[in-house]
Amino acid sequence: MSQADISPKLRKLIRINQTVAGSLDISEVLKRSLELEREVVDAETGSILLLDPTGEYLEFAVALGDAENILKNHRIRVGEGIAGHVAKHRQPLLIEDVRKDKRFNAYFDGKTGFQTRSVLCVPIEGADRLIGVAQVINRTDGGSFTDEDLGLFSAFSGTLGVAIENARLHKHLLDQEKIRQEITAARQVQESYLPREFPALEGTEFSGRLAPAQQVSGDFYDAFRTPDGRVAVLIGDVSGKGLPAALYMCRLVTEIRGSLKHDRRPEAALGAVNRHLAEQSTRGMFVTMILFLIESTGRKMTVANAGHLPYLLYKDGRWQSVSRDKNPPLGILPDRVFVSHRVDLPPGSRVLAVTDGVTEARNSAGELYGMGRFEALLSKNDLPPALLLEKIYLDLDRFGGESDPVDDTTAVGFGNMAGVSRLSFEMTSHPAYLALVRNAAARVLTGVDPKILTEIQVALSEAVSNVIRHTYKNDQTREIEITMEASPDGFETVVRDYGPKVDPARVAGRALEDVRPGGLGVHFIRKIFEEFRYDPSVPDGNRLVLRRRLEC
Amino acid sequence: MLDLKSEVLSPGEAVIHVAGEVDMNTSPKLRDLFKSASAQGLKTVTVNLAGVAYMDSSGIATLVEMLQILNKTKGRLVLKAMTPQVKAVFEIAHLMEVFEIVE
Repeated sequence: MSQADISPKLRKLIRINQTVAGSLDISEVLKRSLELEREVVDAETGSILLLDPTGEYLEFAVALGDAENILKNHRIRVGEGIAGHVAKHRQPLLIEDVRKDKRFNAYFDGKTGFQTRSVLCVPIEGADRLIGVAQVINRTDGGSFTDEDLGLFSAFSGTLGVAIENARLHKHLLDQEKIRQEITAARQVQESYLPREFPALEGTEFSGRLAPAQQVSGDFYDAFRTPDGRVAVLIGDVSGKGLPAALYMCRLVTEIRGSLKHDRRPEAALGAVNRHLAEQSTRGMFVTMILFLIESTGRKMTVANAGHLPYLLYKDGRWQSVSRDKNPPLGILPDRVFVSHRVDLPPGSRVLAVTDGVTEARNSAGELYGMGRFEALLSKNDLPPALLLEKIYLDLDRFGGESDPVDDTTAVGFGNMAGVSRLSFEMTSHPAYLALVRNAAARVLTGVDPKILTEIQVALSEAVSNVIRHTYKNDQTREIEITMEASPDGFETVVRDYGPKVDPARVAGRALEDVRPGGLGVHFIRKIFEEFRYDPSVPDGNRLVLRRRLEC
Repeated sequence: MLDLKSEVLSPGEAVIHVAGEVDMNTSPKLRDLFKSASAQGLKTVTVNLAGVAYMDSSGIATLVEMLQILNKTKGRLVLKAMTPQVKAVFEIAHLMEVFEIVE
């Protein structure tokens, strides 16, 4: 998206802001109505007091005449004085002569120099609660208010109640609309800066995901080819939330691309961007970022990490957290010199970097997802980048349950996957993971006839569905482990569960005339897989082995 | 991911557009829609499967259930615009002759 496209959005946001700020100034409306009403009942002056959010005090919203500035700073406790009495009992009150009424508090007369003689005070009520009180003071003819005045004034307060409720509702809706539009605009800006595809690099697979939270923050990732033929992958997080952070992020992505044209070292790019940001940073905004520069062979990379979470590296059969550079975040120290390090990427190695939305996800009980769970996830799953990210987001979804994520959740992964034809993962026994099972099969069976792939996906999905439905009796919290491997001999998959033992003799496909969810599955599995066998050697649970020959 | 849209063409006739993946996770949504369609006493239900990238046995079972309900009330279930993926599953299950299938 170009600069020219962003500005209409900004202009729109500003316009909404003005509408909300300028709309329905309730005290102005109240003031004008009260002035009219004063004329109706021939009163010298009057005021409207509204209940504060605590419900304990009345605050002056409108006071006619000179007393306004004095009264505006005062409040009255519910139950005290005439207004407080009316608020407490929610009944209109006519006082012909305040000097004979012990509820009258002379404090305000003392403050304003006004002399109160007669008072009409009525409650203002909304649909189901008290909103405030309205009062008028002293008839202009010197006499006292009458029951007729009280009737007129009560009718007025009824109208006021409706008007105030409507105005408040209207304002609330406008506020919501403004927030909604701001989020939509910020998201569009943010999404337009995400790469639509990753540069092609023989043998290397890339994947990136950004799941925006309700409140847009400044997470980002990017991937592009540098002028010297390498592939740059970056991930980061701008401090703060909302549109400013999202816009800041857009600028940053552009600057990184620009810097790498002049100097090929990642630490130089970070240094240049850091200097710009530190000099121009507004409101203490700063950025954490990792920049990976992968050689065109895919076998080596240079990494510079500026204050971001350590990235994760899969090498020699295990994941490790890499926190080598002690660079601070960008935008804080303008003269800071940044450092980088080099990493070999032998076949099978993988790199994963996330923002703190991943590790700091919370469930509805307020529990943190945490680094421990994240590391456990990585150790139990051997997946290429795209599937690993899919798995992480499925797990976060399951973990978070009903609670909405509070922060953006962003991850990028890449790996030298040349020659990798085996994968394994674990999942909880929830049907949401069936899509992952199918996608994993598609990855292992890349290049296989689409019809055969579909058949295998269906049969495998059935096998896993059966574990969820029958072995675990729809308990969606149990564990299933799956491995898949394609070799010249064919496709083999193992589905491992820890439920009650299945009696292979009783696993029979149901006749097609008796189709119900479940039974058809076994029919499919037997039809698609030449080998369908339960491994008798496992001590607990079941180990289902499925195999099919493939023609190459 | 499953996206469902239904449109009523005439008092007894409706089309249900299905897009996405129909599996054990998503088929209950389709079943709910069928249930409410049959509760409305529809005579002809056309299911447009053009957007279905994947269907498993739970999806087939849902369609079979709908077929059985409509058969009882002398209604019709028409499956339209089947994708090759869905067709493959129907072929494995020998269901191509069971349903009324149109292009």
